[in-house]
Amino acid sequence: MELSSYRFYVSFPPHVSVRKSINTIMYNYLVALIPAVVAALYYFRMGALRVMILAIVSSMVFEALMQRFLRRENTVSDGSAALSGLLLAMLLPSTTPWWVVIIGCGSAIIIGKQIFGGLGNNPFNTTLVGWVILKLSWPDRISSWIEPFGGEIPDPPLYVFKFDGLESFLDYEFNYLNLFLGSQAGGLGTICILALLVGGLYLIVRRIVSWHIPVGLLGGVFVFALILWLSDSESYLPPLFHLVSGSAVLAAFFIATDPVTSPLRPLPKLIYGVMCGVLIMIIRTWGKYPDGMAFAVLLCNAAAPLLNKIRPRPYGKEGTIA
Amino acid sequence: MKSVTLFGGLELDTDLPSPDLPFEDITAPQRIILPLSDRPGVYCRPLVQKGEAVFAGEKIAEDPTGKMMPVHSSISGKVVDIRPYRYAEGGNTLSVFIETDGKDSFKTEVSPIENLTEADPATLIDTIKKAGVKIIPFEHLPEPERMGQKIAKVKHFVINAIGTGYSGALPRRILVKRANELSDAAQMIRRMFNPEKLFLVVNREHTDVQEAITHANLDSVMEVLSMDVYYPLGHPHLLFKAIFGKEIPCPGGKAIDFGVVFSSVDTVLHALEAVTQGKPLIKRYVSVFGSGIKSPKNLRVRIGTPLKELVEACGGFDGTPGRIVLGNPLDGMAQFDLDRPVLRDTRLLWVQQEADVMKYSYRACINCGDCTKVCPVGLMPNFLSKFCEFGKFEEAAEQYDLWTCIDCGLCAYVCPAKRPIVHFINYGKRELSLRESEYGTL
Repeated sequence: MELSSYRFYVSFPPHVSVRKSINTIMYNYLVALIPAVVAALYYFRMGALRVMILAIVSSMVFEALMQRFLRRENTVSDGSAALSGLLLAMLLPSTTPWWVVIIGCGSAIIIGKQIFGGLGNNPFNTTLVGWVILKLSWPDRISSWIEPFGGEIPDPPLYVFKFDGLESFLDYEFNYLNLFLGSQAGGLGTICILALLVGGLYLIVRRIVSWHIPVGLLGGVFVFALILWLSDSESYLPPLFHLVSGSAVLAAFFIATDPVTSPLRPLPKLIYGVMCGVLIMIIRTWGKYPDGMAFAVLLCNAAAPLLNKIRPRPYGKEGTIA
Repeated sequence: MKSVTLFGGLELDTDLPSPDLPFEDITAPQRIILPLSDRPGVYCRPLVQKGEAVFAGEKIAEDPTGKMMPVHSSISGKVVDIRPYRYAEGGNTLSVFIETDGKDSFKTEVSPIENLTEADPATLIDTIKKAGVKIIPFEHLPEPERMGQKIAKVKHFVINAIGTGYSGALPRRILVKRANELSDAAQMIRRMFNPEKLFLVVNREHTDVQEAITHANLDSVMEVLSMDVYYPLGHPHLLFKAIFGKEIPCPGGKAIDFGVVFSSVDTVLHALEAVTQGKPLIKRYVSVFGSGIKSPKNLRVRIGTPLKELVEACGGFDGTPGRIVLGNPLDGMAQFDLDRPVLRDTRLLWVQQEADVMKYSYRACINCGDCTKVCPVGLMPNFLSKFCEFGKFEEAAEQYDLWTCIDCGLCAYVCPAKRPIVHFINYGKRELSLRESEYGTL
């Protein structure tokens, strides 16, 4: 071919790009959730499968419909809608009615994400917006817990402690190992700590998530609970118990680390993680809700822009940066 | 492909343009194009007319104000046209078109200097100016009439042999081949500028370069700095910090304010050739590489040679070419025309296959923070790109230090949302400078 007959693309630099894209981030999150999904299927059987499939499909459908309606580019295939649907399912019990799941996913996608302009523009975590709307609208429908396969106690440990008091809590004789492996009532994906740790480590090893938020959050929960427990071991739970029950671990690796709503530099990330952890403990201890994860993380989402003001010092700039 | 260093910047495993290959001279082109301006607002006045015969090495244009170096014809032949030619960087620029007469006869007004050690500094600088070698920016060269007063403006002279840090292949090859000429060059620089210190920056990992330096005994005439090279380290601001441990005040500061000047090793050698052999700058080294080229090569080409001659010298395109870029893939300028000439600052020609060209649209920023991790000057490119995308240029400049950006391109390279961050930043800079010139205030 004659050289002068070629035509070339002209564009601004750079002309190359890393392979990592929004799609790979979201798919890595989904892959990291596989152990938790398997654990949920083991402990809640068909009920778990029903809720998870319903949540993923309805989230993707809502996303596609909204993007069609708002005349945006269709980006359902990037996996972000599937991820927020699956994470919402992880927070719900297996007995959730189908219409509650669909309303939850709809409000997560529409109110939590699309009306702000789609992925990247939402100020609050998509999944948690959906969950909080459900929690405030139909608290009973998403709190009808059942005992997991092989377990006997039909209530999540934190609910037992909150509503029945320490006396009856001690009667149940919770076993740490069982709790760690997932034999407890609770949201589909929050129960098996082992599976969540495996998935979370995968995310950290793949460098999708930096270690700052998980360490900060779990550290914040642990240290705050330790202080309470050391001050009065009669009326507060031991710190390790707060880690193996409730949704703190799920939040630490999958929900609080959502890049859109968390700060972006190491130090702010660590502060953000600690803030989440401490707020979770404050709500659990003195609040109305047994597990304050959703509200704690949402409040910290609101603080993320402020934390982003902690900036590196630009080259050659005199003085410090506020 | 990526290991993030502490102060930002990336170490890139690049498809090096075959550092072991010798430089190949390519045959004189049939037709050359020489632009009469190298940056906006600076022009040369042509000294020849259409139809006039010129020699290789003859001065065909010069700037009476002395801001731009003179232009020399690189082939002998006839001026066929003087008209604007469209360059991808600067738009239409008045250019001289010369067609060869096949004789390649050489004549120049640059005269060699016999004895370097006793030469007058003013004569040396004048020779280099005449030869069109931009050893340091012309406005920083000591003024001829003030030369008698021996103004020590240049305290530290740094010879950069790492390129931008992306691909040191070209300076590496030059150093291996011509290290012993550098001691003469050091003498010349000392004579010209009388610097307190003379540095040579090389890549620590290039063992062949280290050997050549020891062999030529360069340590005795200059301070050789072996550095761990990451991508934009070759930028004067970053090199300044790496050598002197200080930062140049930004925006607006320049290394010359501290008496430091940077020059690349090939320019220094061109200056030496001008001084000792009386050669004007009409040939330079260019590396041709990339996935779209059949056999990557290091070439020695005449300035003004159209790019298609370079491509032909490298065996043509491999597959369908998608983009031709002058410079490295991260901050080079994409070209649209194979007739476009090699200029005096052309060092790399990178050809990308059409299959590798990104053709998808960008998404909203998802705050992942990768760009802040790699930014070598400590900016937050995500905010800059958002502000500039929506026209908040003043905020970007005041709150997020838009003008500190050195256009290295790393932020857009790592962006998972594939945002054209560098494009947004340059758009913001351009809009701001337009406003400034329009209203007189920022």
